Amino acid sequence: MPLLTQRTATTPPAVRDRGRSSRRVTCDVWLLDLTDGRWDVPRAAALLSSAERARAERGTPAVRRRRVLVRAVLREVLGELLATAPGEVPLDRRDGRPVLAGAAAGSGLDVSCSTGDGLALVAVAHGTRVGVDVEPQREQDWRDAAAEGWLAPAEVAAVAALPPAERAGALTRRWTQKEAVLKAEGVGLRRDPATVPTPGGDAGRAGAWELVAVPVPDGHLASLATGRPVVPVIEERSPW
Amino acid sequence: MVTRSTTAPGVGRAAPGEPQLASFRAVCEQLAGRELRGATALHEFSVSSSREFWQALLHWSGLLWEGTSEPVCTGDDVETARFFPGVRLNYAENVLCPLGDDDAPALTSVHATRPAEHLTRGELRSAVARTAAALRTAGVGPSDTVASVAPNHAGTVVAALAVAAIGATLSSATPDMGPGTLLGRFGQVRPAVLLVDRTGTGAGADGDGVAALVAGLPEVRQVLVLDDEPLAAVGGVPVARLAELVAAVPDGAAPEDWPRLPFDHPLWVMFSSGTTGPPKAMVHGAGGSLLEHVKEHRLHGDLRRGDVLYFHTTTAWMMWNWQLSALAVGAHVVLYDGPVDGPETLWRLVAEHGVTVFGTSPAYLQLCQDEGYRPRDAVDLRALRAVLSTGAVLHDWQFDWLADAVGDVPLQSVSGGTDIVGCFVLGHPELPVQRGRSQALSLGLDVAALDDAGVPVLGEVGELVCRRPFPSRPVGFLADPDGRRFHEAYFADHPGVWTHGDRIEIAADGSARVHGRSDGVLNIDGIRIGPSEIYTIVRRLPEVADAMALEQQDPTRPGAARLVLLVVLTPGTTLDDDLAQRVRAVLRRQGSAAHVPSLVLQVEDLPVTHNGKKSERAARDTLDGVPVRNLAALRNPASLAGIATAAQQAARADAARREAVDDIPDGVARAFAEVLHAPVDEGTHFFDAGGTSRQSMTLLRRLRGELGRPIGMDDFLADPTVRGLRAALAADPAPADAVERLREGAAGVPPLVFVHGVHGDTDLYRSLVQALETDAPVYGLTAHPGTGHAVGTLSLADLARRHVETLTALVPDGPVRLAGYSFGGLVAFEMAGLLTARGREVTFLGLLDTLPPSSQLSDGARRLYHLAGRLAHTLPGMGEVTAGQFRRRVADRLLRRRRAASPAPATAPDRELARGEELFHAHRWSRHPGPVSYFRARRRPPVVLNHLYAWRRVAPDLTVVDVPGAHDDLLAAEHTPELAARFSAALRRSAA
Repeated sequence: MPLLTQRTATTPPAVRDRGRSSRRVTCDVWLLDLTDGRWDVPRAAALLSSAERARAERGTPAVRRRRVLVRAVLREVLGELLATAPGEVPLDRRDGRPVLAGAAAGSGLDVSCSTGDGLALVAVAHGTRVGVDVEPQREQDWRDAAAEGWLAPAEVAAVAALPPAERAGALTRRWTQKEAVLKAEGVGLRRDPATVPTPGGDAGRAGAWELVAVPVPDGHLASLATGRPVVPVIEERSPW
Repeated sequence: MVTRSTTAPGVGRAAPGEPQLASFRAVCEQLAGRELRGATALHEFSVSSSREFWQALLHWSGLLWEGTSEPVCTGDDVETARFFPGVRLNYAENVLCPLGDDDAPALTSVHATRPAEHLTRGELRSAVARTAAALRTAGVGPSDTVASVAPNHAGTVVAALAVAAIGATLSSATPDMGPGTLLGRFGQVRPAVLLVDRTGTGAGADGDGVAALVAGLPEVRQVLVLDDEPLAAVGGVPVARLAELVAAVPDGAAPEDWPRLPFDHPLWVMFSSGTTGPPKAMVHGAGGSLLEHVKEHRLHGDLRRGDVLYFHTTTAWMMWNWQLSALAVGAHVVLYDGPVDGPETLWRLVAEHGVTVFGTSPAYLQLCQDEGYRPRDAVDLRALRAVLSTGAVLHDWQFDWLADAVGDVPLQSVSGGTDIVGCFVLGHPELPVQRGRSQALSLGLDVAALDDAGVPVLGEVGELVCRRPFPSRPVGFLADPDGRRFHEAYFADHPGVWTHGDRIEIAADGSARVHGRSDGVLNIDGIRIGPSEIYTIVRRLPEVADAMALEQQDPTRPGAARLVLLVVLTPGTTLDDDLAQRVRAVLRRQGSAAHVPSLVLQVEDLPVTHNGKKSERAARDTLDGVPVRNLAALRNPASLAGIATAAQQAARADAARREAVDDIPDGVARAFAEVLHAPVDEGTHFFDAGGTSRQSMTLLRRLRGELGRPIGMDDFLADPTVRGLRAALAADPAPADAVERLREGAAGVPPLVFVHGVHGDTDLYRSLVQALETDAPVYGLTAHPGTGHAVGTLSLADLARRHVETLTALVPDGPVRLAGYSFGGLVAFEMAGLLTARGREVTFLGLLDTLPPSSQLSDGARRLYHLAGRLAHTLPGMGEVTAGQFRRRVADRLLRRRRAASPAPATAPDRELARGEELFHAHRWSRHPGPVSYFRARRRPPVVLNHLYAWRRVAPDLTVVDVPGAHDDLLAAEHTPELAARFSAALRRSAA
C-alpha cells in the first residue's frame, strides 16, 4: 500500500510537477494534523533510524508522537523523491536540523520541519535552502513577549504602533519569520533572533531570505524562508 | 515734553570707602521723607514705593537716556506691566560711554594657549563702533536678530556690543552645543545673520556644523565668521569674515551716536530649558536688562571703576550678559575661552589679572576643596575683594573653606535666573556674610516665600514669587503669539504675580537661602524628569485614575535618590504584579529607563491642599517618615495614612520576595515548570518535555529576571535541563562563547567587531547594527557576568588581551574594524593597540561617546570630570547631560532596571559591574596612531572639560562625528537612523 496519499484537489498536478526534474527552484510543504487519531504511530516509528527512535523516546508522550510522525513523513517524502525506501533515506541531524547525508547530500534538496501544538509542517525544497516554522497563536501579553528580547527595538515599536487587536498576531508572525530564517541558515537559536530583521508583513525579505506565509488552520501562523523566490506548494498530509 | 538726562557720568558715586549704596540710600530717604537705616528698611521702601525706587534709580544711575521717566510703570500686574514707556536708550552706548579715562583697561581676553588681548575703554568703543558700521554695511538693522555661536572672548564681546549698538537683537550660544541643540534654540529666533567662530572648542561650529545650521535656519541671509579659517560658501548664503568687513570701513565712517530705542526694545533672546517642549525663547528688553544689571553691580556688588570682574561662564548662559553689563559701571571685564584643567586654572587667572571680584560656582569651589588646593598658598590674591557663586546652593562648609583657603573676602551666593536675566537674592555691601545664606533680597524686587496656602512666610521654605512688577521681566516669549506659554510659565499659579519655580527660605533679616526647584522637577541621580511627563504617560493606562511621582532618598543606597510612583486606580482595580509591570513598561517605552519607578504604590487618595494643588511635599515627608510640615494646608490629611500603610506593605512584600529568590536552584526549576506548564525532573531536556524555541525565549527571560543572571542561549542549548542550567550559572564558559555574530556579511570584507558595553552584552548595538549600511560581517564580543572574563573580573587591559585572542581565532588574518560604546569603546581602543602591535591592520576604530578613564586625566581634570554634572546643571539646557555622573549612573541604571524587572537584591554581578567601572577609570591607556572615529553625543555639558583634548593625546588621528542624543541615550532607537547613517559614512570613509 502506498504511503503517499492523494494530493488535495486545490493543487494542480502541473504546478507540482514542474520542477521535479529541472534546476528550477521548488518548495513543497506538507501539513500534518498530529491530533488525528488515525495515525499509526508504531508503523511510523518503524521507518525511523535507531538514533531517531531513541531521540523520540526521550520525549514526553506528546513529544514522542510528533517526533515519530514528522520524521516518518519526512522519510516518506524524501524516499519518493530519491527513489529510496523511506527507512533508507540517508538522513542526518546537524545542529538540531535534519540534513541529507551521503550520496543524497548532493541532490539539491533541503528540508525543514516544525511543529506547533497539534500541527506539523514538513518542507522540502529543491535548489535553495529552506526553513519553516509554525507557531500556535498564544494568549501571551505582547508586552511580555517584547520584553523577552528577541525583537529589535524598531520591531517592538512597529508592533506597539498597531491596533491592540493585531499586536499578538504580528508578534507571532515575526517570530515565525525569524525562526524560519534561523532554520534556513542552520544556526537556530545560536544566532540571536533579534538580529534577524523582519519585513513587518506576512511576506517580504529578511536580509538574503525570501519570506512567505504558509496558510495553516486558524489558531496557528506559519512562515517559510527560502534563499530564492519560490511559490511553495502546500499539501495536507492525511494519516495512513 | 521730552527731557534728556544730562546727568554727568559718575554723579552719585560714593565717597571713597563708602559703598555706592549709601549715596543711593540718601536719595531714597529724601523721597521717603524718613531714614531708611539698615538693609531691610531700604528693601522695604524699594518694594512698597516701587515706582519711586525705579525712577530714582534711573536718574541716580547716570545712565544715558532720553524722553521722560513718567510713567514709571503701566500697571500693577507683573504679567502685563511695562516700565518706562517714555524712555529711549541704547544698551551699547551706556555700556561704553566715556567715563573720563579712555585709557583705562576695559576688556582682557584670556586664552589657554596664546597671550591675552587687552582693550582700553577707548579701544573697545572704537572697535565696537567700527564693527557696528560694518554690520550696517552688511545690511543688519534694528529689526534683525543675530545668532552668535562663539566662545567667551573679546571678538564675541565686540560683535555682541556692535549688534546692540545698531539696535539689533543678539542670541548667543557656545560652539560646544551641537547643531541639534543650536537649531532647537535658533530655530525659534529666526536669525538674519549667523555669527560663528569655527575654532571653538567643539565641532558644533565646524564647516559641517555651519552648513547644518544654515540649512536649518532658512532666514539666515549672511554668515559672518570671527575666525581665520578659510572661507567656504554655505548653501546659497554668502559667507564673509567680519574682520575684513570691519577693515573695509573707511576712517571716520564709524559714528558712535547709536540709535536710542524704546526701553523694551529687544536686546537679547535667551533660553531656558523646560522639562517638556522646546526651550523657552525669552526676549529681554534693553532698558530692563541694563537697569537691573547696573542696580545689581552698583548697589549689591558695589562694583565700580577700578574693579576687575571675572565671572566664569559661557556665552550661552545669562551670566555672560550680566558680566558684560559690568562695563557700564566702569569695571574692567576679564574673559576666558580656555578649558578648566584643574582647581588652579581660575585662581591663577584671578591672580594674574588682578581680578577683584571673581564669580564661580559651588561645584568649582568644592573641587578646589576636595583637591586640597589652597588658593591663598598658591597664588597672590591681594587684589581679590569678593567671590560670587551661583548656579546651585552653597553648602555651609564651603563658606568655612573659603575663609580658610582663600582669605577674608565675602562669599556672596547669588541666585536668580535666565528668566529675569538677573538675581532675586544677592550680596550686600553693608551686611556680614552668614554661612549658607545669600545676604539680601534684590532691591526693587518684591520677593516672598509663599506656603502651600499662598500665604507669605518667613523662616520657612516656600514658593519664590515676585509680587510687584520689575523692569527685567522678559518682554515675552518667541513663538508664543497669544502669550499663553508665557502665562503658563510664570503666572498660572498666582495670577498677576511672578512665580519663579524655585523654593526659597527668607529670614526676617532679609537673608535667604534658595532650596532648588519647586515645580516638582524630579532629579533622579542627575536626570531631570518633569512629573507631568510621568502623569501623562501613566494616565494612558485605563486603570490609572491619578498619579504622583516623587523623588525619595533611596533607603538602600545612601545618598542616592529613587523614583516612587503613587497611583490611584479606578474603582475595583488593584495593583497586582501585572499592572505594576505594565506601568513600568509603559514608562520605559514612552519615557525612558529613568522614568521607571523603583517603587509603585497604590493609594486611595493623593494629598491636596485647600487650593486643590497636589502636595508632593506632604507625600514625600510621609514616605520619608518625617513629620509632615504643611499638614494644616491639606484638604485631605487622611490620605497620608494610606500612603504610609502602602509603603510599609511594599517594604514587607519586598523583603519576603528577596528571601524567596535567594535559592537559585529552586528559581531554575520554577521557571522550567512555569514555562512548560508542568514540573520537570532535574535531568529532563527542555525540548523533550515539549518546550519550543519560542518558549525557550520566555524561559531565558524568566531566568534573567528572577535570578538577575543572564544565561547565554549557547549555554542553554548545550544542556537544556534544570541541572545543566544550574551548572551553567556556576561555570566559566570557554572564551569561544565570548563572540556573537550580529549580522551576516559578504565574504572577504573586513569584519566589524563591536565590543560589549559595561553590562557585558551587545544588546545595546542591536538597532544600530541592523540599520548600518555595510556589507561587512558584524560580530559582537561579550563578557557576560558569571563568566571568567566578565566585566569587573579582569583588568581592562587583560580583558582586551582576551578579546584579541578570541578575535584572532575568529578572524585569523586581514584587516579588522572595531567599535564600542563608552566602556566598550575603551576596550576596543586598547584592542586596536594590541592588534596593531601584532601587525594586524585596524582600518576603523569607532568610539561611541567614550569618555577618557579618569586616571588618565590630571588630578584636577579628573575631579572636574566627576563634578562636570553638577557644573552642567548651572548652565541652562544642559542639565540632562552629566559627564560627572556617568560613573555612578551607569551602575544605578542597571540596578534600577533590575529592580524594576525583579526584586533581586544586589548580587555578585552588581559588584562586578561597579568593579568594571573602577577598572575603566583605573585603566592606563596606550597610544593608537591609527585612524579613530569619535562619535560624540551632541547633548553634553559645556565649559568644564573638553575630553577630546585627552583623547587626542593618545589618538592623534581623531575624527569627530557629532551624533544625536546624550551619552545615555546615544544608542536609543529614536537616534538610530542618524547614528547609523553617520556611522556607515565613517565606515565608507575609512574604506576609501
